[in-house]
Amino acid sequence: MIMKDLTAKETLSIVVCHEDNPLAQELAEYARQGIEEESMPALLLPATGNSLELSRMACELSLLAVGVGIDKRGSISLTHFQMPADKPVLQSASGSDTRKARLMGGNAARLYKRIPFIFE
Amino acid sequence: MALIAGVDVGNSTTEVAIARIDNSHLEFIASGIDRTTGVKGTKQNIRGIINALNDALKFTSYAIDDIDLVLLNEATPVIADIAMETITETIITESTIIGHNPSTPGGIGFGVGKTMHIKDLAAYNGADAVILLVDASYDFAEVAAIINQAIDQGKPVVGAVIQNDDGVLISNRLKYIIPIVDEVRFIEKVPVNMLAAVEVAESGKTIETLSNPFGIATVFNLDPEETKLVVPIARALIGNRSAVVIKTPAGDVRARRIPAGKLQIFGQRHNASVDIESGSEEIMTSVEKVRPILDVRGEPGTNVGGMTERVRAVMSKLTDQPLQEMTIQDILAVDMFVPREVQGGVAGETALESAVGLAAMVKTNRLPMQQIAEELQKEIGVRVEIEGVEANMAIIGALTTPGTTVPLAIVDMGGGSTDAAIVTASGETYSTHLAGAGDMATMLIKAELDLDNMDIAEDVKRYPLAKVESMFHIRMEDGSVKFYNEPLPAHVYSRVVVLKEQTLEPIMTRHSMERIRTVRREAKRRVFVRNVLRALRQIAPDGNIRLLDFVVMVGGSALDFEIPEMVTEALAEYRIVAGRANIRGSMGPRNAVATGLVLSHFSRNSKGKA
Repeated sequence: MIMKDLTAKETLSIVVCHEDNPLAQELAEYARQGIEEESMPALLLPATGNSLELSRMACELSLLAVGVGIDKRGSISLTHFQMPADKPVLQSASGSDTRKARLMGGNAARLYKRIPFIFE
Repeated sequence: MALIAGVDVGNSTTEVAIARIDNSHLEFIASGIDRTTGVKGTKQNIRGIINALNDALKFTSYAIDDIDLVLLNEATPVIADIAMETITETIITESTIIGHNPSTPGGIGFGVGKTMHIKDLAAYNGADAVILLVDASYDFAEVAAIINQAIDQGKPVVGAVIQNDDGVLISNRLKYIIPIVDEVRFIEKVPVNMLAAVEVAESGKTIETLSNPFGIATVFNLDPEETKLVVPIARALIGNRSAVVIKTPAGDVRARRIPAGKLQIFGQRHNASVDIESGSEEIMTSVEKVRPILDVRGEPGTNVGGMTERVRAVMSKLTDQPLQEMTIQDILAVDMFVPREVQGGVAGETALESAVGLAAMVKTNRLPMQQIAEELQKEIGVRVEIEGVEANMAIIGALTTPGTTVPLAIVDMGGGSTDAAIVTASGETYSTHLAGAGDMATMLIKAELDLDNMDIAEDVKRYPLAKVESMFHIRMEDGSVKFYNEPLPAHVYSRVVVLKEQTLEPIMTRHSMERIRTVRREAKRRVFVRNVLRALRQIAPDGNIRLLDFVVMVGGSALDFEIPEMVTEALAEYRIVAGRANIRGSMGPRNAVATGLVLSHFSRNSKGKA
């Protein structure tokens, strides 16, 4: 995984770790928009792994303890540092639905803000 | 040895007490309970009776065949029903408001201008301020670019109304902050080229101008007559973080009052007629004045007329007795505020409307218990007898509560009606039946919180609340915290939930836990505390509650986690010892009548022998 030196300011964000292919990049951008609409900072980082592993990585990097993982097939996971490693908070199946990615970004922000999730 | 079963068919549950009698010794060996099948007093009850008997026998070595005698009570022939009718309604015609609370509106501030679709902005060269309307086909980056360009060209864009949930995304990309209201579902309904005002408050604050009738008057230059007309708009917008008001030439918004009608109460000595709109206090005062009531009718052709007719029709159908014999013997009226969708809104806005909830009790002819007894006897092959009147049986049962003695009053708080009975020191009994109990409280909770269905309202009534504060812990309404070892399901995250035994049932509303708790407690207070006082006044010597010493609460609603406390507290003011019954020292407030049936039979027979 690419580990450039991240500053505390950068990691004071909801971190989105995504694989480095066009689909995952696009979905990550939509997830970022979902986070922005909730007025929270986001940090996108390329990495490899399945979406659950990526979200785990992301939440460990995030000082807010909230991470989103997006793999190259478009599967998206949302997790929190306190969650067991094998259990995401939310997960959406692989695909190219950008709406789902944005919703997941919004839900990541809601997880931090402690307000109820939106499902569709 | 003989096995005897007492069976009490109630409005919602059927209860059984089974005792073994050896010579002159009586011993209760089992109790059972099951849902009443069909309406109390109909042959459909038999299924429920058999279920309850089986429930009682399941931990014994006996079967139904082993029972020697089943005792039924002379059930009180009262059945209750509830209804609710809103008496105000906000309708907006020829004018539009958007008064919803999108979770994330964009920008801050206040803007007044003419509405214009974003596609027409490029061709616009006027000097008048513009409020942009943006439908879902526009991407946020595109919208931001268009607005920025317009601002560069000196076009006065002062606000925007957006269909997508893009308010913050657009706002973050603008050179100047303008108020943006987003998530407007029916953007196509917003008229163009009309004067409009957009207001977005800072987070944590609510709008100030559009929720004030004079604020709206200032913005739109209204005269005093027109200002009166915008009151419903201002009212519907109070408490919102963002709002849009659009004035159309024929602007006409009104809070229409539906003719609610009059209730006519016919008593033995005199009659009364009371306007529903005058509120529940007035209605209940009239009810008390006219008592004893022979019948209650609503003025034909009005809401309340429809309401009382419905109650009578339902009762007549259920009991299979003619409609003209259905006379309403008591009503309980409660004022309510219910959220209702504003007619003519474009984002699903709601306004609080006044409503009146009514519980009505219908006295039928004697319920055909004898027929049920014969039918049941055929079905199970065991002798079935009618032992006695419900109120007397309940008193005999209630007296098995440790610490009680005659004279004693009991209050039976059930699902449909609140009943009370008293036994004097000399053994005379009096009883009364009033409309309104558990079902009424459930209806109030459902309506006032605008819940989807009766089941969740029933859960809110019966179980304490908690707020899910993290994936691993919840905070109860008393402030204590419960931790879970496993992460909680995502759909309950951050929701207010009811703690239903081991499961957490989310309540899908935006109401806070405090609000839900207040509504729940108020519903119970308005139904039960009021009805207990009404009932006791009717059976107390000289109508004076202070002359009562002991009041024992029985019935399903006495099992509630807070109703008995509320009643105890209210009656403490009258220096009455009031509390929940503990039938046979072990059954709690359940099983009073079933127990009373067995005891009554036993004491009659042992006296006979002696």
